[in-house]
Amino acid sequence: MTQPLLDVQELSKHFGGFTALDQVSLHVGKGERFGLIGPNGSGKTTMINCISGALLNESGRVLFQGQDVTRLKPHQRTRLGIARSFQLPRPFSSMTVLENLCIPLEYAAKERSRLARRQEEAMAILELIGLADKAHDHSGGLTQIDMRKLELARAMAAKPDLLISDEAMAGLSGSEVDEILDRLFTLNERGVGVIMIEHVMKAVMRFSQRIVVLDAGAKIAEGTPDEIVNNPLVEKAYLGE
Amino acid sequence: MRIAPFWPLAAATFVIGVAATFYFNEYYFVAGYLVLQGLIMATAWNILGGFTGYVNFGSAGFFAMGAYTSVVLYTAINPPLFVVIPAAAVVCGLLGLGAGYLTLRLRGVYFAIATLAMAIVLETLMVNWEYVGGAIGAFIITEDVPFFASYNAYLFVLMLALAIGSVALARYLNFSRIGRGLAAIRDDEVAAECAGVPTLRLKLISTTVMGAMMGVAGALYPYFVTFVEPVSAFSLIVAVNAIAMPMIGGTSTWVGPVIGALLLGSVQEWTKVNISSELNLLIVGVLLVGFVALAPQGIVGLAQKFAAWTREQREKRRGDDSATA
Amino acid sequence: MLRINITCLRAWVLAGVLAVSLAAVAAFPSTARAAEPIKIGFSMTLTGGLAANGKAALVAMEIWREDINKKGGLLGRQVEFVYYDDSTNPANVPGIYTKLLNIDKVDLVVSSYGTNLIAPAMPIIMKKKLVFMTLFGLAVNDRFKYDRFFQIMPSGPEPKTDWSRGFFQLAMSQSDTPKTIALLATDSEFSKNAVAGARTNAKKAGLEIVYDKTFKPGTADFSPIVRAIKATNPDLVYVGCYPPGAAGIVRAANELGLEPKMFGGSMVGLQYAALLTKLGPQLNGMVNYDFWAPEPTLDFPGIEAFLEEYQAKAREAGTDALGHYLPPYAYAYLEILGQAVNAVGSLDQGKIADYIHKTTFDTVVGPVSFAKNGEWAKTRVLMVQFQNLEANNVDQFHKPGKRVVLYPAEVKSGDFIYPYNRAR
Repeated sequence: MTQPLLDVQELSKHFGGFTALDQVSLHVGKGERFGLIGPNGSGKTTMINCISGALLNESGRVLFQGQDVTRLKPHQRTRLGIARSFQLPRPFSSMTVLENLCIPLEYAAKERSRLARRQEEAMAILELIGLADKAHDHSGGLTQIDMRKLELARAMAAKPDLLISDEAMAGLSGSEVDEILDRLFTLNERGVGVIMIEHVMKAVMRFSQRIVVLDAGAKIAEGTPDEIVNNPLVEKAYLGE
Repeated sequence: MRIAPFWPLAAATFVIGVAATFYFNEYYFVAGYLVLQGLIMATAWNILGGFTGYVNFGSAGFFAMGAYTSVVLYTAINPPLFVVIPAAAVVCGLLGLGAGYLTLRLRGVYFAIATLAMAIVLETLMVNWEYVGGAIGAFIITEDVPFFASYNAYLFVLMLALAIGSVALARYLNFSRIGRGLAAIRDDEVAAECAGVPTLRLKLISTTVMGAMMGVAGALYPYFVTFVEPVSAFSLIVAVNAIAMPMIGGTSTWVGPVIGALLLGSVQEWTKVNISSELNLLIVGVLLVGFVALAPQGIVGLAQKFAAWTREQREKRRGDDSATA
Repeated sequence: MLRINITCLRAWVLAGVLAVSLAAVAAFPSTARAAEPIKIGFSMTLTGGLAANGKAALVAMEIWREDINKKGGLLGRQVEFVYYDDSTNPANVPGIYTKLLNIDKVDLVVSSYGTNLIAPAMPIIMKKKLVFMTLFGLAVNDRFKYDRFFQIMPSGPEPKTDWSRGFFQLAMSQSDTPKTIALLATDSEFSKNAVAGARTNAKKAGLEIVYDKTFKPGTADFSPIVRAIKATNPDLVYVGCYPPGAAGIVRAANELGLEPKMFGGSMVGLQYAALLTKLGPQLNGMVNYDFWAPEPTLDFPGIEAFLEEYQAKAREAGTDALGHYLPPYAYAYLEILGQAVNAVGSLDQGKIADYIHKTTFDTVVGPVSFAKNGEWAKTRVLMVQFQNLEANNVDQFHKPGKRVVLYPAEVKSGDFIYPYNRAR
């Protein structure tokens, strides 16, 4: 069996006496569309923080393309191919939209390149995501949906093999959700694995090939969207008894 | 933001500066020395403060350690100045590296307080170190140099060269790969780290360069003032100017500290001899508060806003003209 | 578009020409002009840590200026001061003196107050070969060995040991000779030097040093230190410190009943009105250094008049109410400079320096002559004993008998009450 793109083994994370994640294991295949859901406080954000390196887990391992990245810093993991977007957009507000993308293009890349080349690649990503006409606008003054798009675009600019999208669609309208989803599908078509964390259920169900459900720091279900929807444990976790 | 060709302008400034020492009164070079000292300190501070977004309150510590490096070398072997200056850069660069390593894991306010604490620790160490004179202080005897009109003119020219070098370095950092990384850290450190920017490494580079540059600013101080003691070497005005000059000039590029230093430095020198020295701190304080409240992007920011406004006006007029045509 | 009115333009040109002519006329020196004043330049610690002394010095110096101008000034010309505040910051001093010399073009220079502010001016002064009267610096000329340097503080040619010479002479000339001594110093320049001199003198006198420590300038609680000293049961206690330390040590000594045979030394602050009034009878019996006291043996010509004028101005200026410590010397050093300039008859710095070196001057602080290194030829650091002080009474310090001069012999004004506890 080919090794999975991402292999999280028995990962635990504590904050003082509070256990945020309790020996959770999951894996994502190459180019897979993976959904991670669960009620608020279930540990989804903690999980992706441990995967991306923003937090260090106390036990368990994170393997990426077979390599143990458990103790690596976030920027090192980004260089290996893990990228993430943030739930609350964090643009580099002193820079234009284009310049925002040039940062990961420069720093996450495996080799140095000329500025012109980076700008070309940045424009290409902006075209893909639908922000090309705002390339030279100040990133601090964008609309909500454009900021979400910028988050994704910036994560894409790191040329990842695995992209983690953290609640990119929260609070967006129906058509806006479709826009974002569309971009994620396009990205996935190029072979990039995507972990989607969402509360917008229709998006997760449409997008994911496989879903893992967390509740109170433990994995309670895993399977295809259909299986998850019909799983009574999942219903209980979200809605109570 | 690029101004006219940098190197020709810098070379011309240097040549004019040297020539001026033969025509003008020595007093202007004594005042000029202090303005240039402020310029180097401001440029250095801005590398960590403006470029990277970490506010350092302990600038006097690096400055004074540069001065004390000179004192130690003078007391031990009295070497020529071209040995003293790099020595101070190395000592204070290492100090910056060490301080960065200890404090950069702290964020925002905590980092700023840690830098202040560091300066106080260094001052206490110097007060208690007999070799450099402790609380009593140390004397430096200077000798005449050939070619120059006076020793102060010589120090002024040296400082001019060092200032140009510092500004050139800051300018290089501003527009380099490192500079872009620092800007990302300043804007959002977490996002930068996740975008592949090695934040700790870049921050340490920032503190090391800042430390080295401040050490260089302090290296010639003992030769200028001929008497070094801890209270005035670690003085508050050095630390406050290092912050005020970039904030008034503008922190986002290398130009701001230069403008801020030339302006604020000159005002201070004029005030010292026309009104009173104590007024200096008051002036700096008032200007700093004023700019932070009303023009946080500094003079450079105001200039940029003005340029944008005139551009708008021109376009509007063009629009009106074409409408009436 | 700006349309230029020809008539308007002519009017402006006319106005401009008129303005320039008037300015030119005003700038030309009038034929009947008073003689150019003589400018004396200096920096002074008017703000910052030494501001109290700097302001007091300035008051005294201004009094001298008025006095000399009433008598016709220097070389028949009125005297003017050109001075700047150096804020007790050595870094400001070089700039101020270069401005004074190169831009203000002063005729004579004198120093600011204190070692830290005198030293930075030295290279500039030496380069221009000027006479430099200096105000209260310790052993500054040891480094520079400048032959036109003069110091008005009466420490003597060997300042470090001269300071405590009197204390030990008094101690060792008693029939009940002391055997042991405790030494205490603030960890800073003057105190450490004074106590270092005391240590040398103690060893020479064959005394056993039973306690020898320093304390940090910020110390507030002296009980542990005083207890430790008391435990060694010393015959003599010699302290070098600054005002906050002085007050603290005296109080602690009184509270804990420290009673050696002789107690005092080089405690700065016990010469200032504020501290003297506050501590009052707690000081009785202590033998400490001073520079002047209202004793009949120190009644030099002019001192009474000077102090009267000073004390009147002190209230306004907010400086030390008594003015016995620094102000007379700030007046005296200008007296000396003025007398030398008038005697020589010119501003030739070399001739002035030579004259000062070989002359004994009559000043408000008595006869002054200088050694080769510019310090006083003979030490005149007084050892005074506080006797019969009352509480909360500042007027008592204007009268004799409260600070009895014991040393040097030529100005002795009373008897030494020994041991210490007999005076309490």
